[in-house]
Amino acid sequence: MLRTIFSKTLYEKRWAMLWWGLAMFVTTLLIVLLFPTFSEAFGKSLQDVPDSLKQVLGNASDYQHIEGFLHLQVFMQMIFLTIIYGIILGTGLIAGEEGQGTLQTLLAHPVSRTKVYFHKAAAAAVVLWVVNFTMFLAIVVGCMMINEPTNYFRVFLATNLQWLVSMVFALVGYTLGVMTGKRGLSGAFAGIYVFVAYLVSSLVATVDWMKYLNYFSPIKYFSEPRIMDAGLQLDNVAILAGACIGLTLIGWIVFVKRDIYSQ
Amino acid sequence: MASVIHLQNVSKNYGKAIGVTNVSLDVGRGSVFGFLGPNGAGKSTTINMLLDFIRPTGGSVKLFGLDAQQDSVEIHHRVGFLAGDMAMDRGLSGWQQLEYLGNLRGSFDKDYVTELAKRLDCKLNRKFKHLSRGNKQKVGLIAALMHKPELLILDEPTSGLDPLIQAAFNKIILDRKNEGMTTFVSSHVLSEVQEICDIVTFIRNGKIIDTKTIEQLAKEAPKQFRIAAGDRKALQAELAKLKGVHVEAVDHSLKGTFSGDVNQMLKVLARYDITDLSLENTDLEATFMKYYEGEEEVPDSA
Repeated sequence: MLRTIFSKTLYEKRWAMLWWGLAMFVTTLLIVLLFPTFSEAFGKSLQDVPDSLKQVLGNASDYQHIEGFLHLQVFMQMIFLTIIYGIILGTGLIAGEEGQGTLQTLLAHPVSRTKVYFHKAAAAAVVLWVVNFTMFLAIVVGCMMINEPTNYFRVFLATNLQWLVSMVFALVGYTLGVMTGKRGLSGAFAGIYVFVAYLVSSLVATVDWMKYLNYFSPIKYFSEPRIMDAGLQLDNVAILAGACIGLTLIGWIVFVKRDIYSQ
Repeated sequence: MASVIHLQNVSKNYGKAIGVTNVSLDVGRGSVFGFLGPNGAGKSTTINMLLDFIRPTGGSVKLFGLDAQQDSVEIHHRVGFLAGDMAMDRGLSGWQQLEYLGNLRGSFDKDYVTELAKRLDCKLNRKFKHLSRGNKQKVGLIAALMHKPELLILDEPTSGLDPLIQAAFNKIILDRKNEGMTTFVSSHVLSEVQEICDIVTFIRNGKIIDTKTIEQLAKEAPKQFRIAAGDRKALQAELAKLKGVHVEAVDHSLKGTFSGDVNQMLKVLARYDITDLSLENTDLEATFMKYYEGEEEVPDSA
């Protein structure tokens, strides 16, 4: 495991990956197991809720079938956990190491900055994918336990699109960290972006002018339309993948040019 | 002697703050080169440019005739580096750390690493976070030496470490010197490097202020004396007249320094009844301190 920067990064993130993955699995499984209760009680109580609140909580009908429930109660909730972990991961890989001084030790060896940058980004992608994948496993196990079969291929696609969304935020943190060398600062900016993106996605149905801002929210490309109902939209995938590539390139260009300071 | 390090008019500005200005120096192959100056003088800035951590705002930095920025990967194959406070992954053991860094270099010579660890009495099975500062530095030194680099760059490697570790460091560097390999070592204390260096360059406020061999420094350094004599007051008066002699009465003897012609002093002493005389080794630190003191600029002689 200690042969390349990529494999060593996976090795050092193994415990975090395990615990986050386990937390995702257990939380998702518990939510899925609650579906029968939700579909009976919570669905009825939503009938009289105002439209603006329904945008956040969903319609009563969403709770009557497993696909709507998975979208609202699993994906739209759990996505924030993966985004938060993505930011923690992204800001720690280079900015965090620069703060600790280990990046300088690494760069004193015969490795190019390009190699360091892309190996760490690739390792982050793998770690984040594994954490997201535990959610897919939990949904499959949960649905089997409550005897509510669903389209597992769409669950798999949704899990992967969720991974892509969390990668965008992780790369925002990664790129800002690479550009500034400051983990706290880049984490704070990425966190503010998540908050604003979530706010915009939640309120866009009731606040008309927010529809323009919503184009800058990666969450839009996950939830509109819902994969569990409409399947995967390739244009959404293309936009999220394009954002990932764009952010990666910006970070790389800055990283190979900028000064790395000793602590 | 071919240059291993060649800096030509190198400057580095941090916005309005100046890191180094017009630094030029050459380090010959097989030498042990001391780079001395107070904290904040520009030593680490210069080293960071050698290793391509930071880029100069002017001038050129070459190692082995290669450009420090364009050819950094090739250069780093031939260089070992140890910082004063070497940071490594806290969760890895010393051995894992070295194995990883060795793999990045393309080879990991277990036998040689074991030999170095034995020589430095370094325990490699403990996690880095559990090691004392001295042991961390030992792991760092092994990492810097394990590929037998042509050039070893040390940035204040032993400051704050105990004399035993410092002596082990010095022994390894002197062995390397005997094998014709080059070492560049920075420090803010001359005594830490005077045993190993052939030549020292002094830097202050980002400028090179002087370059001297250790022999030159020793020759110019004041020597300390202590004399007990019959007619102490008369002797003190006569010695005080000599150029380069500073003398004062302490207890029942005379104590002072001289940096001039020793024969003149001996001629004076020969006329007195001397009951005791002691002459201490060259105090290079006193010479060194003159580079720290005062704000006046010394012409660049590098």
